[in-house]
Amino acid sequence: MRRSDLPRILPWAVVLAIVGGDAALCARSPGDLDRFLINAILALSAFATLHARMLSLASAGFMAIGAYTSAILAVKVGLPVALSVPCALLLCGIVALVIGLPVLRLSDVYLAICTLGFGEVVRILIVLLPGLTGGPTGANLSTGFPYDAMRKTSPAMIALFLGLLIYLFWSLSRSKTGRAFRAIRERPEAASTMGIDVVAHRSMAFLLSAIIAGAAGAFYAHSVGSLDNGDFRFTRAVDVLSYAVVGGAGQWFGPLLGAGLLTALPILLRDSLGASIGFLRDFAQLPNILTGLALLLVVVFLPGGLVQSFPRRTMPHAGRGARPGTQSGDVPSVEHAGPGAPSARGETPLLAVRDLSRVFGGVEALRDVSLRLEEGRIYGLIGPNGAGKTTFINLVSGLDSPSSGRIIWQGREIQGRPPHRIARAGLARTYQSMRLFAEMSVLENVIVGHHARIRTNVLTTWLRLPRERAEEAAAREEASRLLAHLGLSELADLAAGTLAYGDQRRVEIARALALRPRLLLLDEPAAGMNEVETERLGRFLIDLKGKGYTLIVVEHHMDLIMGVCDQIVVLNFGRTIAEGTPAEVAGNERVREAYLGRD
Amino acid sequence: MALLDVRDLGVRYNSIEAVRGLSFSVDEGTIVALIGANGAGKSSTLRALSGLVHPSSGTIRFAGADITRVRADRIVHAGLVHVPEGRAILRPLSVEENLELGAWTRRDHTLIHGARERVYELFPRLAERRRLPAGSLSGGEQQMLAIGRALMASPRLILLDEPSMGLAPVLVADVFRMIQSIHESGTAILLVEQNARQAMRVSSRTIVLSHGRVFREGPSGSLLSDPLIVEAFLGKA
Amino acid sequence: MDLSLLADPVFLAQNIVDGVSRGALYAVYALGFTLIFGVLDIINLAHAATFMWCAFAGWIVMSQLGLPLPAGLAVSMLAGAGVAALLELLAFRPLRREGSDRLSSMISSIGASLIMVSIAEAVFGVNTRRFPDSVLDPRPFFLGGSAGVRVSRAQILTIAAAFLLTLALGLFIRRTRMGKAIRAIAADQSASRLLGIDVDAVVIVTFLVAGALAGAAGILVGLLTNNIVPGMGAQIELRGLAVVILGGMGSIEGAALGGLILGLVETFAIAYLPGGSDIKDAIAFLILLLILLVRPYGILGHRTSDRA
Repeated sequence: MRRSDLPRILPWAVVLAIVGGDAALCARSPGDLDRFLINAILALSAFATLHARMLSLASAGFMAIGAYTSAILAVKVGLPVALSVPCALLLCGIVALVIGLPVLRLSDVYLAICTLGFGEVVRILIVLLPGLTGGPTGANLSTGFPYDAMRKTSPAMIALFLGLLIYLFWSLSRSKTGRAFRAIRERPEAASTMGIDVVAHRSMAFLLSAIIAGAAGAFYAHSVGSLDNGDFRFTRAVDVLSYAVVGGAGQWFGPLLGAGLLTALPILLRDSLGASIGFLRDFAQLPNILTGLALLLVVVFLPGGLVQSFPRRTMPHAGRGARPGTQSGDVPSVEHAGPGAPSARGETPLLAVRDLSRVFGGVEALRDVSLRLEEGRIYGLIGPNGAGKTTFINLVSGLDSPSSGRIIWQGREIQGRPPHRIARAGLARTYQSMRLFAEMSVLENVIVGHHARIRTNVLTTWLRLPRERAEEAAAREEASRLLAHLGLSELADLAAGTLAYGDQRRVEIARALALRPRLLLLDEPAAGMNEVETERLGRFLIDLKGKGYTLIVVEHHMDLIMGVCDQIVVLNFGRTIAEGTPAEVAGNERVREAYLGRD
Repeated sequence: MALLDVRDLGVRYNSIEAVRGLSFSVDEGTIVALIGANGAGKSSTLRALSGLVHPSSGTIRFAGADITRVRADRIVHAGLVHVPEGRAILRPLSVEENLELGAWTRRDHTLIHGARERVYELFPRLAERRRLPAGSLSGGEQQMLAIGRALMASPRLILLDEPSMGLAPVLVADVFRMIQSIHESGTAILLVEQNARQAMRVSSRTIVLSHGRVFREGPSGSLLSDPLIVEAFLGKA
Repeated sequence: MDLSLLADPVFLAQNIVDGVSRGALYAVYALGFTLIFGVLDIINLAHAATFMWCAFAGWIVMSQLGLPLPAGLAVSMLAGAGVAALLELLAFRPLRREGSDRLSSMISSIGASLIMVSIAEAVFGVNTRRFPDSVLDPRPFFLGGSAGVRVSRAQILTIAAAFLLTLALGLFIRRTRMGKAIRAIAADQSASRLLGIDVDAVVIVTFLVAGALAGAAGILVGLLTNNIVPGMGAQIELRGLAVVILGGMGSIEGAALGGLILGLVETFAIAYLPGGSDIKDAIAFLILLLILLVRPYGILGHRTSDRA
């Protein structure tokens, strides 16, 4: 074993230590097994939201709902566990939808605060309904219907459920939905302009998280046999959070590792050091202190958690010697994804913009901009910094809504529509400051573009039906072909964030093309490119036009713009000051004054 | 000895080398223009000079002292002020408060007061709006505020990053007049501009940057009449 | 509900007094919290643990060492300042260096809070403590005769403290040189550096002030409730969040106003609604939720593009 092997072996050694240690502890005291399993389930509940980049502190609340519901149904109504647990899950799901819908629109910290409050409210409700719940003194499952085998859960049952969950998450990570979540986690805006419905995915994650936490609660109730309000305090939510943070929310097994570590650590410390350091034995706060320390240390030193140290499965980094992708062949012809035949020149324009305005707190970013864009042409959009070019692209792609005016795409108004719908309607865009999914491979980035057209169903995703696997394979195939067209095949399996700048730009374009758009909005595609690369880009854009694509190019590279565009629109202070062919625009006095430099 | 002496400067952002092997100097009391295409490395150079980013290689000497790895706030104390692209106005604070903060490194209240009055004389529009929040000013007024604020520190060298950016053409002339009057007061200026012609007219020397390196350097007058420069950087038409 | 309650003016007045003093306490707590959020965009969930430790510090000084109230208050505020500065150095500054997001600093504060509360539990146990009667005369005043409105010295002190601290903090932020520097880094840290401001030093000052305010709140709550336990932060934390969101994140007057409103609403709910005292804990959350959904920037906050 060489020193260079150490980084690769170490993470696995850690995993082995955690799993082995947990197994040993459970073998020694089988009563602990339930606890380990339930914590593992809770860890997955945290993973469900955290891996969509949502911080939800509601797990304690849903756990309580699951626990009390199932206990009450079993003990007061007499249902066996096989029925009471699913009912509890159903209730959790309903509550999640009800509170989730308004709250999911909030941004990160506000969502966290709301979920924090939710947990407290649940605890208050428990106290308020002593008849049902036994109030603050707690409930005991042996009152009422007999607490017998029908109403108990065995570790085997819990382990089975955990196994099912692991299968589901593993399957999810390999599916289109899993990829969508990874994209949302990295760059939610880019994901939405690639056709992914971010809100729907987040709702799904929240719902899943609630149901899993509820299941953990139900199992907890039936295995422990008594419930107390204090079982579901905020510290419980923090514990669950810590499993996911310490283990790392990048992979589904991260939180499991975190749960394994944090559940075992206090026991281990107590047992090993308790002999020599007397007070450790009775140190009730040890688990909390360890959790707190772990959170602090991980957030500062290892933000991705334990899984961060694992080498990525398929993704070597682009090394120093990586050659730029070779230029080759052909781009695919544009497909007419939308309804209707390609518009003939001069009739309904492909994209029409009427009196478009966008005002931000007193600043007029765009003012009364009107344009008609015809299919199959390259349009340039130029102007000084701050003239409104990126605002324009944001409005057309749906990331922003105009203050007034209309955007009409193929005869339909699209202003203010959500970006994923606009993307699916055939408008794709790239970003000025690149927004690739850096941690995903180049190929995966492009496959994301196909999402809009893979017809998998969220529910059946996990079953990995043959039809879906076929569609997934087809998408992979198409993405590979697209990469080949752009000469990027050699880079397909590399982590996108490690590519050279120029290559990253081209991957962004490939990703946009994967949507099979009719219109491409390119925001400074040549930024950072040298002359040779810019020229190549120019030829590529003309190629695209030849295949029927329509392009809007925002750029400062005047060579590129003048050489490639059919029509140029010049913006200044949010208004159009000129429009025409390159020659017309270059000779325009106002343009020279505003932008090119006065004489 | 030059006021600012840059040797072999290199600046990287992640895997991208924005600037490499850049060497130039600025003499006391002069105006030097730094021009080049977008992405050529102009702003990155200024950011390295003022300490906002750490250079990956090279040395920077200001008034004889090595400031290569010095923190941004300490560099201001040394007499080098950077007015960044976009002006970095403190929007919620008033015009007057912005100006006062410009003199953060100075302690003598009489001198600070005097400096403030001089700024108001130079920019009467700022005096009119002294109590208004800086964010409510127009683009041109904000540029005045940024420059006035820089003057409050009584600097020896001002780094001006794209002062005419986003301004209406008629205001651009004003900006260059302001630059001229700063020059007359003895402060040196390193001017980065998209408006290359104007920048070259107001400066005594010009450095042309391309892909992070010096492409050409020399007296502004001769470069202005160099057809290669004109074509490459001032537009084909 | 006993309808006669509605007609009783003394009862009403009593509730107003109680509500205002309760609100004043929330306001003092929220001042420190909103300062950190407004300036640094950090949701410091360890503010409650800081507040709790300050209360204990005051208890040690006044109950164990027998020193009078001014000493207790001074020590408490100093302790708060110290703890807060420590938090900044250990839990927040390292994150700022890496350019982490808001969620990371929130999680970091949760970790720190957990450690602080656990240590307090280990050291002090679960029994409640109280300040000795000698520090503040517990006999209340009665306005309007012995059957009139009852006001304790602690309540008067709390209301006065809230008023003075809000005023002082406002003056500090608006009129002093350091206050302007704090506003500068709140507006744009990078621009502040270019003005020669040592951002790290100003951040420490901000935490010192916020911590001192937590200390004041700690003493006041001890005087008002006579109930000092390691778990005391949990209750006030949610209320602090609600107050700050209600009043507008980062607004000093907003924290004061929000505190007042919450205090009054809670007190009136307990007094006039049947079962009110059971749901009083939920009121804060309901207000929180309502504001976030309807007007996320709070009463005195303003729209900025990146808030909720």
